[in-house]
Amino acid sequence: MASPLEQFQIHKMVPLEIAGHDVSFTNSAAFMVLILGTIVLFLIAGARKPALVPGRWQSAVEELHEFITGMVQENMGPKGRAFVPFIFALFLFILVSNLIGLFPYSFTVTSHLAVTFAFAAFIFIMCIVIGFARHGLHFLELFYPPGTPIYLAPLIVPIELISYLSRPLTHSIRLFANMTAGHILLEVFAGFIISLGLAGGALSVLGILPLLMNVALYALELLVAVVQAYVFTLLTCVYLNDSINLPH
Amino acid sequence: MSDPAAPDDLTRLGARLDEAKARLVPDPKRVAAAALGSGFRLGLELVSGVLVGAFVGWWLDRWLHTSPAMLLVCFFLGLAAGFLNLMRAVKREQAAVDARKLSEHPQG
Repeated sequence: MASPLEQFQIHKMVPLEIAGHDVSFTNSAAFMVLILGTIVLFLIAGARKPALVPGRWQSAVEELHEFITGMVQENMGPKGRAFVPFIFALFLFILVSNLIGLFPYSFTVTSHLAVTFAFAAFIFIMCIVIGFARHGLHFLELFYPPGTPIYLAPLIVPIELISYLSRPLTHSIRLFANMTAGHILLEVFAGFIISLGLAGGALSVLGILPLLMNVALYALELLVAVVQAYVFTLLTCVYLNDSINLPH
Repeated sequence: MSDPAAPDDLTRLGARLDEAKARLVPDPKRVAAAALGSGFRLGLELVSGVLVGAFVGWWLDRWLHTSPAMLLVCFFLGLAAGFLNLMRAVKREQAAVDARKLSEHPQG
């Protein structure tokens, strides 16, 4: 029987090497292209025939955009409006990759720490650059809040610094761990169905139990896919908010 | 009990009572799943602080050749940072819960 981890393997589809670096086109990259295609199709379908009374697709796209605008407004205030396109793109990419990963035989891009950490690290660096660009050295007040007694500085500054440095770690591991754990669970229960079904006799009848479990797990995974995409973008908003509006 | 409508009324009342109870007491399986989720989330906040602290300490030790002083110091600073992360995450969740409650019962 196939290992439940086989679904996470990366295969090279078009081997490619540039200046000694392996930049092969892999199944992961292929699914990213598929995700982008799906998003573009979805948005085109929504914007193709703009009407005052929106149709189904237009309504879906508008609702989604309104949802993101509301989230940005709530977490970052009026200064955050410039980030709506970025947050919108981020949410759609993660949402669609989580959902496409739920199709049998497909590949979940977000179940790889390399992908989620790339996102988290990019957002982390973006936060720092924007913070310094908007507030100059005042941005460092994030690590040393004004009004803190000077004798507490040797304690407060490293603690705040480590707390800030741990952000990309929690940010990326949360999404990655949720997706990976869910997919392993689905695969393990699917394995039970096959091995019980092949056992023959009364045991074959028992195979219906893991099947029912898998149906329930699929519903749960659908929820997890949407919630994790939401949580990832919400945290991005929270982190960007610290850079745009200094908390004090 | 001569009234033929009475048992019907009672079953209807029973159904309404169950409905009201379900609204007040959420499904335990759902609560368990949500608790597992938030436990994992909050645990991660704590662990990541310790991990990053220990890593920074180990890296400083290698750079300054002070092994194991910086590792020890930064480990405990990381622990404090982890608790800070934890506190902030709990506050964030509490704020979200409060906002939801306020939108459901504006007067309460």
